[in-house]
Amino acid sequence: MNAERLYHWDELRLLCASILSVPVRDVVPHALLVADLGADSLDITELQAASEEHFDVSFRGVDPASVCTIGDLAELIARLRTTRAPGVVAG
Amino acid sequence: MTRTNAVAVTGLGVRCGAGATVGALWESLLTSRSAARMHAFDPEGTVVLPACPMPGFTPEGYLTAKEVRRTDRSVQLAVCAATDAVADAGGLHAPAARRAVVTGTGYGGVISQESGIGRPDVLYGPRLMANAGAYWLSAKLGATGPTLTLSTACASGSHAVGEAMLMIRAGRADVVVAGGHESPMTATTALAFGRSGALVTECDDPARASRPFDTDRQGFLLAEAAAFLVLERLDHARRRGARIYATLTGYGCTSDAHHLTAPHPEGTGARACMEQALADAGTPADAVTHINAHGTGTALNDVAEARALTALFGPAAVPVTACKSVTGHSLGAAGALEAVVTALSLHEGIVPPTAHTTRLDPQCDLDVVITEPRKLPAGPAISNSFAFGGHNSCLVLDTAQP
Repeated sequence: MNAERLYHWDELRLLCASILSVPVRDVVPHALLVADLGADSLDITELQAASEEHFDVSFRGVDPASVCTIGDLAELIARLRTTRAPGVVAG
Repeated sequence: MTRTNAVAVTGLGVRCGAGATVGALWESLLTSRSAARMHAFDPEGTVVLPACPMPGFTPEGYLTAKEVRRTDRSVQLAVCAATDAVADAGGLHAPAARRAVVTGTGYGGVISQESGIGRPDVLYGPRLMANAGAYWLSAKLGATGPTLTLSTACASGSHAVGEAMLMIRAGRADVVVAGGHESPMTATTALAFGRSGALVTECDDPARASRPFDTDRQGFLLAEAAAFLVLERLDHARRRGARIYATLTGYGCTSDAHHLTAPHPEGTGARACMEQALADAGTPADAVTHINAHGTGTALNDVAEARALTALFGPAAVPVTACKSVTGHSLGAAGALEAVVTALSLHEGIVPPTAHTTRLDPQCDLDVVITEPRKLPAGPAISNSFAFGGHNSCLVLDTAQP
């Protein structure tokens, strides 16, 4: 899956840049949340909560170890949005 | 009297409308240049009151963009003021475990609290908690000794300095960064103080609106500020050749146990607090060279404080100044800000005037320093702070001996 071709990519990019306090240009699909973008546990929690609210999905049951890069996050959100029942509030 | 563990004031740092640096604040005080202006407390401009904000404040250079997101404005002020105080002291000359931090704040992160009601984000709790300042200072300054926060409304900053002194005396730390911080600039806070009758709500000239001990006083002006002092063992400070602004020799801590918001009308708790501080310092009352008053400019405070001063020192026996005339009232930061000013007054040998006060209230039988600065003889001074809740705090500072 090419994260940059996902329809929510631009929105997610801005959200990540804002929460992690990094320039938007650094938010690229292969960027590692911790090693490249300096995220700590509080950032990860905030990113999760903000992504859930912004994209109307739930990360419940998701293995945190499966999300290492921005691309992982974008793909996870895409997957969660396509599998959830329409009109049902996630979570 | 010099105790083996006497305490020196070796660093000062401030952020407030009356001065972004200690030097600028001192200049404002000496020239009676008030920080007050008409201030819109909400974006719509529905709550507009005379107040002392710090409009140009930025924590840039002190906090990263991420750290700014994680902190309330009140804590941002604190980090800047405390960092400056430590730089002013020439660094903290003690191992991490012997460094301590004591912060005072009345409201904690009230701006963050109000803006997040009903839609809190992940950072809501850590931004608004009252002890956030103590965390950020401990982390920034590498202090792994005791770090804690006191909250006694308008006496918080003074209690923080007093308790920090006791910490050094007790041998629990060798250097303490102590002070107060407050940014109560929300519409709800302003409306609440306005409705309580404590604030100046209408005036022709905001810059002259705060007039402690004046017949025409109308109350105080809400201010945001942070002020921090570096306190260290006097022997350590001398050994390393530090510049010593003053020594901190006495601390009084008493309670009115009288009323939720009003001081005891005779100022009995205030008097007891000053007596306790002087006894702690081993200083007789007639040796005191000046008083940096709580002096809010409310009828209740000024008369009670004046009665306490007159009862203890005699009528108009000791020079009194009230810097809230210039700085406004920064609640939990005020006591620390005034401790900074008292240390500067001793260091410079000058008392700044009580700005804008021209006609003394006859109920206040005091020698209030007005119009222009007054030269001081060397010797002990008292900084008073009296709070909602009847919490009293008095600090005795003395001229540093060469």
